[in-house]
Amino acid sequence: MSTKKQPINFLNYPLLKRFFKSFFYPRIFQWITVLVFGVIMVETLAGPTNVGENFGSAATWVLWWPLIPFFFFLLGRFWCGICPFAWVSDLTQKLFGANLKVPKFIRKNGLWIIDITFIFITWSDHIWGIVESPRGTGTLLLLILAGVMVSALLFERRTWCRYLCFLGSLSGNYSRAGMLELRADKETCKTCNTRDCYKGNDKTPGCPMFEFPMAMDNNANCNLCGNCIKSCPHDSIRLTPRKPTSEFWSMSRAHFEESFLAIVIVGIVFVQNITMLDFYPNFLKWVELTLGIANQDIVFTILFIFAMTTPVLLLFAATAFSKRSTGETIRNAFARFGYAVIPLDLASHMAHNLFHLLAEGKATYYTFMGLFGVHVEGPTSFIADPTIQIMQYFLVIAGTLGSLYTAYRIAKNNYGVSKALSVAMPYLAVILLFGILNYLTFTVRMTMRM
Amino acid sequence: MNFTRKPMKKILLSLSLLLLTLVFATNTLAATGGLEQDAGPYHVTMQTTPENLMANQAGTMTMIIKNKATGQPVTGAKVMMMPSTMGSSAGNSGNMAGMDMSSGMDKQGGSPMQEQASMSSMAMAPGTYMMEGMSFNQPGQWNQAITISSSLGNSTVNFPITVGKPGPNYVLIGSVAGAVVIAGILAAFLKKKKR
Repeated sequence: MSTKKQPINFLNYPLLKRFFKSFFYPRIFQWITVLVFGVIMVETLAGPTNVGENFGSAATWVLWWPLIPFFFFLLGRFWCGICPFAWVSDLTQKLFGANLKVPKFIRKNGLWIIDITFIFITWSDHIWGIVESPRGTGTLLLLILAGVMVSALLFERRTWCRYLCFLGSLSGNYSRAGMLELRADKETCKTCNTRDCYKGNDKTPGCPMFEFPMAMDNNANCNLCGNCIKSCPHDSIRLTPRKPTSEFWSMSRAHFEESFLAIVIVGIVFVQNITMLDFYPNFLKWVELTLGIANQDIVFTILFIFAMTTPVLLLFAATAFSKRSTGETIRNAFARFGYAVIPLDLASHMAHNLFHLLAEGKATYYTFMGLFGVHVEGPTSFIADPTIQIMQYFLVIAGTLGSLYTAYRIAKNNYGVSKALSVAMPYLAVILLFGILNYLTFTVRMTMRM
Repeated sequence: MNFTRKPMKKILLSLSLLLLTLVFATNTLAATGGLEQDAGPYHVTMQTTPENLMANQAGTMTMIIKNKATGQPVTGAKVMMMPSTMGSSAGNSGNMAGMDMSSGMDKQGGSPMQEQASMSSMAMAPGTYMMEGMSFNQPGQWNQAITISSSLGNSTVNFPITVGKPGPNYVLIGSVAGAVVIAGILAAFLKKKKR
């Protein structure tokens, strides 16, 4: 008789379980983020206009933004559970919310809305300099805050977080490559009649992200808010570590929108890297002269669109090649294999932002001291550039290997061991190309944000 | 394996919409890119970075100088940025002590603008002159005189520069708050109706 090894469940540790079930989870983290967010809002909207002196800009772009992919990788969408906007959403809803059902249009097209907003915000940062301008950052945060409040006033649960937040798709994708999962024990759930995890009970609201843990087979929409852990009368919920990227190996549903964003992000991260390299102004000028367009913004827009569409077209081309072995429709195969680039996306995103975190991180401390009128100056880096570069190389190589392996496992899972390599080969070639290009961008020093 | 079905039409429509938005937004931005003026034999385009300068915030002024008759860029010119004066609209006419510049001043109080060829790290079109690190010490309407000397002759061109207050943008904050309040009223109405 063989017994299947049970996965580690963090909720089996009494102290941890008690914490998750307590009033303080996740509030204790949320109070901190709300406090910091309040300072960031005031600073970016009314503080110094010089980015190098503004704590709001430093905390947002040198600390939070670089750390967020690491959060997603290690803890899934835990950040979304403690996000200050989520707190604002809950409070607004509790006090004034009409709690209407989410319109069908939003439910159906939420991922596309998110994808388009994300692309638009990334583009507008380059055109209007949101990151370099504290007021720009303040305006962006203010508009998001307004969106969160309007959606909380009208609709039920965290409609914004689930269907509209521009980071939703990115965080969902990255969390799926991550190392932590929350799932329910399906056998236990079958015996449940109350479904408190979804509906909520007298003490705890239902899942704010519209998820039913029993049916959950991916991390995309779980923000680890802990509501289901608190409300489940059968202790069915488990919190388990897992191998990175393993979720993609045997996934049962593929969404074209998620794959599309994953592959578009390859281009976006590439553009982000390129625009921060020393040779970028010369390159932009060369493109300007070649195309005969005198406006840099228009030239950037063309480059941006080119960078986004090229990976999409390359993956479509790989799918067309692979189709000869599978006979599957291009759209379905694209949707399935698009997920394979997520580990590389995540690693490149981490590598890019690692520079900002480690080479400029001290700016957060300096600007923080500035809040109290204390002028502190000095180097902004924690460690030397060559060390950061080695870490970037390591991340990109790990991400590329992760993506290559994921593509192979997806092929193996869907077409069997015998066909796996032949089906995966075109995708492996494209991923390798993305990996090499990303690697090359990290060989040149980036410019700083602050 | 199940797939969420989405008609291809919708995807193409969304992408086209995004593309159009980006292109229109870029064109709108391009239309507000800089100020142009003719001065003697020159056609001068002036741009500031950031576009909306704030008091006590360092900015960069870029001048693109062309031969008015031929449209050819003017290179090798001596371009001097004279001390700025505040416009009468601010009720402080003739104030000349409000601007700091990164480079030194000459006898007349002007500062030379650097031609692009002498700026190794930047790549710009020929006939481009820059002044980095300029800042105005108070908000309001300023006049910026630039003198240009080259083999084509000497000329002075004046550009108006609006310097904003570095404080919060109350119009933006008020508009956003207003939108939220309207949504709140709508929510209260819908809530009542629902009951």
